Amino acid sequence: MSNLLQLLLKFYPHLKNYYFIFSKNFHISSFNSIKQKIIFSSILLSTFPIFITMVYIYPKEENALRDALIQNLDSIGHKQAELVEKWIEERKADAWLIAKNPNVPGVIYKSESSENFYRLMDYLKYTKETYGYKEIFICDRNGDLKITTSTGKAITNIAGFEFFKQAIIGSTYVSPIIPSVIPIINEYGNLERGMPTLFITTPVIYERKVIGVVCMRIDVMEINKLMRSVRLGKTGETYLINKEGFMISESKFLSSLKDFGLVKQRTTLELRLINPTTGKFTKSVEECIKGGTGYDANGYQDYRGTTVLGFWQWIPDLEWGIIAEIDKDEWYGPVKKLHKIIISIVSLLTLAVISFAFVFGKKISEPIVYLTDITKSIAEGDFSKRVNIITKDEIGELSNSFNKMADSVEEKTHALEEYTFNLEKIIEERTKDLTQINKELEKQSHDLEKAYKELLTLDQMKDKMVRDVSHELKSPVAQVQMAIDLWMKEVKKENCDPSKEEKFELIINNSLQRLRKTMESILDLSVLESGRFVFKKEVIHMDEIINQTIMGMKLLAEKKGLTLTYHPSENLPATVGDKTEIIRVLTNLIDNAIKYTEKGTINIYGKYKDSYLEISVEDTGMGIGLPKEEYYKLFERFYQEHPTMYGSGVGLALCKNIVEAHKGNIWVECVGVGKGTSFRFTLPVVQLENS
Amino acid sequence: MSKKILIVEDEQEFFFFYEMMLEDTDYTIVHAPDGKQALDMIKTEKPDLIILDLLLDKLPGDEFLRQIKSNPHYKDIPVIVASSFSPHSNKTVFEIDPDLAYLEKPFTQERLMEVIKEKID
Repeated sequence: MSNLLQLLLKFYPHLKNYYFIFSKNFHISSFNSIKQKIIFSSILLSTFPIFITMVYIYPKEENALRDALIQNLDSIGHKQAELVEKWIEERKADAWLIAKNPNVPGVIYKSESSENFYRLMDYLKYTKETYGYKEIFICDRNGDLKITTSTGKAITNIAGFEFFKQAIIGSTYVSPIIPSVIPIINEYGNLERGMPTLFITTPVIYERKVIGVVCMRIDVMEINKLMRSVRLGKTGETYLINKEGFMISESKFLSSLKDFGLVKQRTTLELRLINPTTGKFTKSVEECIKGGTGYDANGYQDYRGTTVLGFWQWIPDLEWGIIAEIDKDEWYGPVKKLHKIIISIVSLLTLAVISFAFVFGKKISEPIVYLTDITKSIAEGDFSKRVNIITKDEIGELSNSFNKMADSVEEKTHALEEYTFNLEKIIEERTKDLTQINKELEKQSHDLEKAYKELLTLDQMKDKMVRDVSHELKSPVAQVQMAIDLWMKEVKKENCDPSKEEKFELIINNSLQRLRKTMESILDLSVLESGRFVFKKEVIHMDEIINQTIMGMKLLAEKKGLTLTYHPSENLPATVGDKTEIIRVLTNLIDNAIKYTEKGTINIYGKYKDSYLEISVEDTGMGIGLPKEEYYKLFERFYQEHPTMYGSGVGLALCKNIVEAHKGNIWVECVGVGKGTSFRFTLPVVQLENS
Repeated sequence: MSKKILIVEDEQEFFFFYEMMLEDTDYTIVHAPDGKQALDMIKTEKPDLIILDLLLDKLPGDEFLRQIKSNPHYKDIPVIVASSFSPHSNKTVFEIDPDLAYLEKPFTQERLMEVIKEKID
């Protein structure tokens, strides 16, 4: 493809511009689109005949034209040569006719004013005027002039001239064109010496003897007329040269040669035919004076320096050369014109072809491009697109098939989407189930961990409880032992202090009491927890037993400077239960309140609500340091929030056991550390079965 | 100059016993009923020896011991731990202060004097 293009561009350099525009728009190296391919192929196919015309027909035509030119030049040259020769022959015939005139011998031998003389003179004048000679004269054997058509004579004897010498030996002679030795009237009407002159001489034979010579001086300008008789375009000319390389006829370009100062009067004998560039004879002159005949159709420089095409022929009889030349520019004008026309036609055709190719290419490729776009849209997932081409050709058929295929693809894609959706749904549900199972597993694991931690805590709690209880047992024992030990030592002293005895006794008593109390509580609790304990069923008047308990504990409270007050509500109903045990609950709660309160009041409330009696013991003490969710621990056996306080840690456990045995509930409320505590318990109001 | 002993003890009975046992000696004794007061008294009383009960209110004995042993000003004060539990069930205090002396309740005057002397004389 590129080779073909290179070739095309070689022959059509002007197409380069189009090529650049074209290649810029179409990326010739890679035609990817059908449109581009169609356009390029159309252009290629359409321009092929033009290419053939340019490459093959045009050069052939050019050669034919050149051949015609050469032929033309050749025939002109030959014709001119023929004319010149014929003309000279005619002039020779004129001379011969004069020599044969019967009056000639009389004139040569006799005096001037004879009959013969006048007759001959008439004849000579007639001939001169008719054929345009400059001068006709006859001389005797010695060269003395006997008769002449000229009036004033500068020369009376011509014996010294070559043309006389040649004629006297018996032949008709044509002299070379030479400058005149006498002044002669020139073409401008002035006398001029050295005017180009041509003589034709022939011998006068009388009684087989040469008695004289007829001389005719010919007007050189007559030859020019001959030369100009054949026209050769605007710039074409034929001219004669002599063997010295001078022009012996008048140039067509005389005036411009004069302007350039190459000649003064005329070109004849003045203009030497030299190539102004090389300084040597022009090609035609050089070849011609060698005696040859030829032509040059490629062009060479003439005496003006202009490139010309030329033909030349040497006339050996006259020793003249005839040259026919024409400016190359003029001759090749038609060829150039043809060239221009062809270029214009080709350009117009190319333009038309390109335009057509564009339109045609577009028309062909448009539906394909449209189809491609739709295909792309469908490939990108837009299944709503269809091709809308209604033609009866193959494209229309393709569009129909494409639409059918798109329908099928859309249907199948939808089915696939639905299937994928269902699949996703199933996966989602399964994932949900799995997540649920996982959550449950996590919860179970968490519960297990919690249970394990609780077990650990329980274990630690058990350790702590054992320590607390054992401390509660060991500490009073240690006190008793140390008290006895120290008292024994004191007794043994000489200065024994009897006041100490009381102190030791108090310590020993308190310790033993503490020990007994602790042991009793533990035992009571173990009995209660064993389930073997039988609660009594007595009528309980709550007001009564509360007041009774307060009375018993008032002293203990007052000892710490605390006030103990009961706030009963009206119509508190009686219930049934073990009075002793309920009093134990009340005692425990009030005892704790006194123990953990430094100052303020301890208030006891009793109220009836929803078939339940609710008793509260509220203090203004230190409160509970535990978080709310751990309050339940207070009711567990041996649990002690403040282990240093005297106590077994079973009081509240006992309370809980008793209350729950009565189908009641016990709990604690606390706003925060230092803000007091409220212990509450409920008992259902029941009737004694018997009553 | 007599040596000062800080007795950290929540039970009044035991403090009375300390007073009785040390009344005929040169030692000066001061009493702190809980851990928090004991910390304050270290600053003011600057004791030469501390006798420490472990079951204390407000600040437990082992925590009190950890605090003074990590304080560069008090870590050199010798400590006697006095408890009704055996040293085997109170191993953590030895981890805090390996040099401490252990006094198990009940104890005799002789035993008390012995451990005090071991620590400060």
